[in-house]
Amino acid sequence: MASNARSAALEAAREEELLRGRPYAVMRALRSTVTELWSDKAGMFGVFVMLVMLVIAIFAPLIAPYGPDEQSLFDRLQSPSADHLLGTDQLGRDVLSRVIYGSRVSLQVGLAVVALAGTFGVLMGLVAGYRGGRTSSFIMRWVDTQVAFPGLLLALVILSVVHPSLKAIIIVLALNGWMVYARITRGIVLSTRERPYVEAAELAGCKSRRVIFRHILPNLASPLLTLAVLEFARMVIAEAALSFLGLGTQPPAVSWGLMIAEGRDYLASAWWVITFPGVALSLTVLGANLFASWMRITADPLQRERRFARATTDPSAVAR
Amino acid sequence: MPSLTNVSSPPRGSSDSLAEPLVRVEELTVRFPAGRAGFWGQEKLYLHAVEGVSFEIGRGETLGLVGESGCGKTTTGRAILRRVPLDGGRITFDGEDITHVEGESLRRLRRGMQLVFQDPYASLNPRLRVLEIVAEPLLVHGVVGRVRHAEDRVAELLELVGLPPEHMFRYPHAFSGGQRQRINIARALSLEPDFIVADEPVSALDVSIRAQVVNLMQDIQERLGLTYLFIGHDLSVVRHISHRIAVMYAGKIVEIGDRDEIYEDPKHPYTKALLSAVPIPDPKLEATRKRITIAGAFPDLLRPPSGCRFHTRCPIAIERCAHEEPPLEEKARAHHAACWLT
Repeated sequence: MASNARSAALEAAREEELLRGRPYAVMRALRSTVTELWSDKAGMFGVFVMLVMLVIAIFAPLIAPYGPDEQSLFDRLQSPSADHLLGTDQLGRDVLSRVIYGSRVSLQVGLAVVALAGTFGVLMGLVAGYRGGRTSSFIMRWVDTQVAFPGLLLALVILSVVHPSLKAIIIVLALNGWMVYARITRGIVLSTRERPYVEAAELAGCKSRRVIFRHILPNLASPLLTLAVLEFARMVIAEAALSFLGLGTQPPAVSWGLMIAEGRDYLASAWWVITFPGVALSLTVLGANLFASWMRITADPLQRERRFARATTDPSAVAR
Repeated sequence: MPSLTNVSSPPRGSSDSLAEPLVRVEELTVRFPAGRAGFWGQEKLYLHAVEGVSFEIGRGETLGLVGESGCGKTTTGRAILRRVPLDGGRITFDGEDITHVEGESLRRLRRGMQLVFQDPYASLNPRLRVLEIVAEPLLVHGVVGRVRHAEDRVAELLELVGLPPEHMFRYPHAFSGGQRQRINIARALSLEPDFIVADEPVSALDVSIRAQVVNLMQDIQERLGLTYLFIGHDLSVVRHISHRIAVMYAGKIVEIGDRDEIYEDPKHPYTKALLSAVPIPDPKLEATRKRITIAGAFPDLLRPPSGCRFHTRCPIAIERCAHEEPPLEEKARAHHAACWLT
């Protein structure tokens, strides 16, 4: 009897296992994620902002009422109205359309820089963490040297020499941003290497590649994802700063930083020219930060379990 | 797939070596480099973790290894598994000299010897499910091609260690300390090793759970004919599971012998002091119990004491102990101790 009940339980568990990843299981997982998100309002806001930005950037030509560089000198510096929801700038271009098109640059720069700097930084951190010794000292001293050098200065120097194209901006910002990934990766590798479960894997006979990818790398996923989102926000700001200084996106193209730079002469008379790109920038950065803090918990099974336990026992405690 | 539960005796290994001990350790020495001393760093320092340790463990036997923290118990266990670099000595496993085995053959060798960890919380990867954890040794040694093919075997192993097999799809954090230690044992058993080093497997557990896990280990030993090196500092637990016991102090074995011999007639003053520290579960007897307290602190293993390493704290030390090191001599039948005075 008892063994029958037992094998039935095993069968049930197996069946459930088999159904993992099937469409309805995916739907269920999705629904549970949404429910989870619903209970964390700040995280939901973050995810919402990021999704909206993604949609706007991809479908900019469909959403924007005017072209980004459609000038109409008769309609210069008009305040927000039904025709121009967010007003027009000093050349009579629609601010709303320009903000919408500007999100493309921000998104492109942010994603590309994070991908480039992240890959290089994580690779360097892994090498430093594993090899240790001289390799590690060399890489980490290189990191220290670069961190000690003011990033914006380096970017300005390079961009004043080469032509500031989108590609150049991305490379320059990645050059500035990879160090933090290397540091975090190395730290985590060093601490996970000493974990008993890594020793257990080695004693079980795992080869080092398996130990690295199966047992050490997953520990990096949660902190690195969080870091990547935060870095995304930082890079959006950095691109805006470079454009504001005139060494980023160049005039016929649109970028939030450039819009702020161009509009600052009209701050007293036409506040909308500078305010709306500023708001878009702030919202994006805020959203990315909230998204990152939600992700930090969601990507870590242990933290996630804790949050779930808290939510089920004390619904009012979720916000904490 | 051979069923685990029906294996009665250990018929593996060369049949003519049944009288031969499974594990033989001779003059094992482990020193860890510990930086440099002196103004110019001219003196290289070594931590003398294990110094000239020798013992044998017969098939199906449990050798208990006791001593205070830092005495080299864990290092000895890791050295036999070839996890720490040796500075001297010889290790023989199943009639084969494994002192210098490296690389791929070392990896294969580890199929025969496994470790059960002290901390059941840290020794299971929190991101893998029990199935993946227990099946990993099978996978990396090519016993199974994919984790899915190991399900039956893992179910069997979980049953063997007293866990419901359907729990194999759960993550470690869903289990208590005692259950995790069972998972640990299941993982160690998955490759059907002959020899298991248990490094304080119950000291991180709740007192009420310890007996369960120790009894489980004993039970499995009987069923599978395993050989244990059981490292511990809880003397009553070690007494319960061991056939023979070795007492270590400052990297050396000071006494080794049959369990009852050691507990009833300890020869070495350190063993006597250790045993007198075990509380008696009877308040009246406990009140009249005479404890031998040893003064002083554990010696600095960077510069171990001359002569007998225990002479700095020994209540009965004489002049000779400070200069000459006592050999490990047979003081009674199958009972060796290293002391000039007994």
